Amino acid sequence: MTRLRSVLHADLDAFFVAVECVLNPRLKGRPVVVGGAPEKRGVVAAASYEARSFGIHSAMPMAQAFRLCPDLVRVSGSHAMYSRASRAVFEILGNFTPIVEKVSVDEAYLDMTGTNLVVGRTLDAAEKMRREVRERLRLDLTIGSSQNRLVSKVASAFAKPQGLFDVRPGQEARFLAPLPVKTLPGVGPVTEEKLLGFNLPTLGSLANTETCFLKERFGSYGASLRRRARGEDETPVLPPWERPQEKSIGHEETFPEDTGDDDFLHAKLQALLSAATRRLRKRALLARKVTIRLRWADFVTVSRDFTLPLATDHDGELLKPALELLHRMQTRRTLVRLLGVRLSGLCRGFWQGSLHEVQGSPGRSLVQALDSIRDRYGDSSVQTGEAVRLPPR
Amino acid sequence: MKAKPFLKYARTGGKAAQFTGGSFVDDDSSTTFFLSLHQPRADSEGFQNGDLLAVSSRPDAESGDLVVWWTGASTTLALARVQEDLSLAAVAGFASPVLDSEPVPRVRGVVVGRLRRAEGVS
Repeated sequence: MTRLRSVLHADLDAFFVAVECVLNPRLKGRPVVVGGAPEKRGVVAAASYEARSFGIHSAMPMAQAFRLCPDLVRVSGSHAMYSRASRAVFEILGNFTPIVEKVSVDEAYLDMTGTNLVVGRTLDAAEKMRREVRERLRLDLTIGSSQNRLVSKVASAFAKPQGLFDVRPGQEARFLAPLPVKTLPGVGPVTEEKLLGFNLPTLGSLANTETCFLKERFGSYGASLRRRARGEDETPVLPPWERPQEKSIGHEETFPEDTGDDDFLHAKLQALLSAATRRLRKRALLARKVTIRLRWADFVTVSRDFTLPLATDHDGELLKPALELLHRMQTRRTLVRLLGVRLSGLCRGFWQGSLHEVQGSPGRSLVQALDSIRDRYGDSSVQTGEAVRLPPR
Repeated sequence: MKAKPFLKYARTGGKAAQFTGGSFVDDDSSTTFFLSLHQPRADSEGFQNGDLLAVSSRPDAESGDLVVWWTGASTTLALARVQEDLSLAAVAGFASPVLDSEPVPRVRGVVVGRLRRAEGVS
């Protein structure tokens, strides 16, 4: 099967300890931890594989670690040195693809799609990456490879230490099926406990569960859980220049008086979306996820969200699904006190419209014209027909 | 005479073993197991000698899947690709299954991935 995308997840093995072993080779093969002194209530920041075999793990109190392994070697650690080593590793990774997303000092995603003419087959390139990091820096890199970020992340965890695991295209769901649910990124102890309570111990059992069952128990996260358990993930790998500073952009408003007027709420939603997308455009950002927050007069608050297939900064594309979502959220006969909109899943870029754009839908030039009028004469200088229902500011 | 490639049941260490309870066992009840690939030459699949193939034993192979087939004895394990007409075509230097032979060749599992460790790591 042809690979649609090619994404690597590269993760340095026991990074802090590995750097310490490079600096002091006598530490190699011994149970070593990096962290604060036990008498100062220090905790383990990183542990070598030898230390881990005693049950020692990061965030464990150092005193407890020494109780588990009296021969433990502790080093205080030098974060300046770790940063230096990390920069050197990322310099090597950057030679294979320009699209490297640094997740932390020792972890990155690489989008290798379309690089084979330059660096050869992805797996050969991954092998070369590991070799170069090993030979030049004496550090071990584990790599997971697949068609998306999610599966590559699980694959690299699967391959540790010093491994390269490639999930064949089309086999993502089969690969994940026997793994425990906790191996899925984002499934923490609370979700794991809930899933086990529903007799869903493996990702295969989760993937085969009806979406409506999961939605009832987990809200929109339920549908996402099922998709992810099947190995479906379209999240792009974002290089530094495409990564926004903000995680989300939102607007919300508490009304002067609680309301049950649907037309007013629709107009308000449109105005909030318009303001939020205008902020997106000013920052050259696009959003994929829209969250609507509704608070009723009795202070009961609900949030629901939807995700678009493609990121956008155009409120025209968000309005219809947002109105539908708002409609589905209005399940109570209580007046509404607050309405809010939050745009997330941000990435850098400009909306380009669709090749199959619906005839008559407002295009880029109209949006730009409206933005420039509002910049010059104020937000209320030009409004949509629905917004006349809103009180003047 | 050219040496033929062969597959052997294997166990793996590290996280892969932890994730699966360390029990990639060589019986039909396991859902995923590992086979080590022993082959003298490089092949078009990009496999190398010593690669560990992760094999899902769910019997739902589809056209285009790379599968492991056998006739019931571990010495007969071999790789093939499922064709559009669901026949099996030999790959990576392995022999083609002979359908009218006894015992009848059958699919042991679908290859879902490949694990390659740095030298000297189990």
